[in-house]
Amino acid sequence: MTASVAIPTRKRRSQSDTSGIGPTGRMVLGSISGLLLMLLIAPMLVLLLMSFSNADFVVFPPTAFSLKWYYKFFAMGDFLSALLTSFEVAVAASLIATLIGLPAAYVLVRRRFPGRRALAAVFLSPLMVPQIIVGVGLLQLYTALGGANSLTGLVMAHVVAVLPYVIRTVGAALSTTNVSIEEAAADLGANQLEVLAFVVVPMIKGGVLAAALFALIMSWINVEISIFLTTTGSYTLPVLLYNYMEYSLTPVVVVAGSVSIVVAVALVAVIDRFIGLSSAMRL
Amino acid sequence: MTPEDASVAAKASTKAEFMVGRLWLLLPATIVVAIFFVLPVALTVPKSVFRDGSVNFDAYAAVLGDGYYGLVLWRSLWLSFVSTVVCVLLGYPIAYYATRLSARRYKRYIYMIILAPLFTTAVTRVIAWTMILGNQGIINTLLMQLGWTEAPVRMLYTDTAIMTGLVYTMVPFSVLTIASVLENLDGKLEEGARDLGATPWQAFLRVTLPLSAPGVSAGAILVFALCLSAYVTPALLGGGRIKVMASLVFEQFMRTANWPLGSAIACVLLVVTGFVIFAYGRVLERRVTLGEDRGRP
Repeated sequence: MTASVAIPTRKRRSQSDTSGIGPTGRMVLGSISGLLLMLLIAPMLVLLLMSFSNADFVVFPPTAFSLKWYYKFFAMGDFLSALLTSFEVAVAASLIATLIGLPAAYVLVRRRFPGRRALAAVFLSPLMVPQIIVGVGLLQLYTALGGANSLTGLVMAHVVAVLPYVIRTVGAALSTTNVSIEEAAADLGANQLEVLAFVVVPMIKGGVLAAALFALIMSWINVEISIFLTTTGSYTLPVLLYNYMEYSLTPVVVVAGSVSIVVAVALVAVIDRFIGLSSAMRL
Repeated sequence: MTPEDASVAAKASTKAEFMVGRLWLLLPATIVVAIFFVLPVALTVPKSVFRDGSVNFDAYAAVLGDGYYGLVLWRSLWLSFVSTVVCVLLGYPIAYYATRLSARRYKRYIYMIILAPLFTTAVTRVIAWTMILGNQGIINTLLMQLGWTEAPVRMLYTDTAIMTGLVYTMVPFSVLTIASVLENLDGKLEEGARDLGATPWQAFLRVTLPLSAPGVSAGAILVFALCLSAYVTPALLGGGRIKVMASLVFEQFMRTANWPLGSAIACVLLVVTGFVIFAYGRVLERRVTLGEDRGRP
């Protein structure tokens, strides 16, 4: 240990390259990551490509392309009604979750009170508690109350499931704003709701919009709760797709899956425009 | 500012502090979460022990005493474990590349690709993988056209298919948790190791990897819990034959209508995931889940 340490007299690397793995390592790691990223996106691209196939069965590679199955999809009553149900539920759940989640996130960020952390944990816990357990719990509750399979019940289940996304996104947006503006408004006589509506919301409207869209997406794609709370006629699109997939993979199912992806991607692009995906998705 | 001004301002701001963020604003969300989340989840426990108006543990005896359920629990744990390991192994290089090496302008697209699977329904992902792994799927078509195999290789409806689906679904979570730790890591430490003569690989193994361990374990725990409670992916990619805990819960509720038994299985699942979530909380103890208030001066 007492031996003198030879300090290598290497040239310092440029400031931007702090990783210190050199160009070769960088290239190797880059190609590995690139390959993995391609594997992540490939299944989605395959699905989109196959949805334009003209064939009567799902066979690869597609020999001819057409919109045939899209026409079929939009002509099928059960798919169309499921699409509509999904849309209604997602819009309602997103609106309600934003309306109740925004004030809750506001207090959780702005105030210190006993039990604050515990309450925040409860609000966020639907992210961690298995959705299937929430689903069966609600099924039992609704059945006991005599209202299983009601649209309202489904909407409220989704509200709880998407609330964590609203609270987190709004919370993140709020932490960058300055409380003195709100206090000034309160000093000038604005009541609590006026402060929220006319001061806070305008300051973080990008964050609020992103939160609402987040909620919309998470409701739109939910299947593990919905599957317990819907029945023939009230299926959402993912649940209907699940039922079809239990039997077989048909071209119409592929089209329905693609439609679901396109809607999600459009919403993601909008969120990215408003708040930036990486900041919205911090875990 | 005179002292009087300052004291007036201070008084006003204490008053205002109580004006903003009144606690009753929490009420609507609290009520909704209590009724539609806490109550139903809590109901699962009594439902599993009450039958015909009396308490009995028959359902638990059935679950814990029957070799079949033990087998299913074991399979769930095993499938989740392997998927978690693969998720971390795949997630780490992506996270490392995204946070440390990629140019800023590419970062955004990398995140978009990582997040894409999270914004599609589990069923859609299963549809895609069914087309890839099926007997007439892409891989088998390629293999047969290349003459590597005569008959299609059975990939769909196997444990491997389930794990593929789980990994595909959960990789984003492992990337995001690992990336959030790597992002806050001081690159100078690695640089210092290099300057002291460490090879890049040594610097990574002895400096970066140990420092990112909390992110790796948090990501692994999260992925494990999510794998364990996933229903749709194992149910569809396992073809209904390979059962996991979640599919037993579904079956008891939706097919055989044995609710006490279903509730008992759900409780076992809840306890196992609860334990995992607790471990996750311990790992992340010092990290704050909600945005901290930086607005207050």
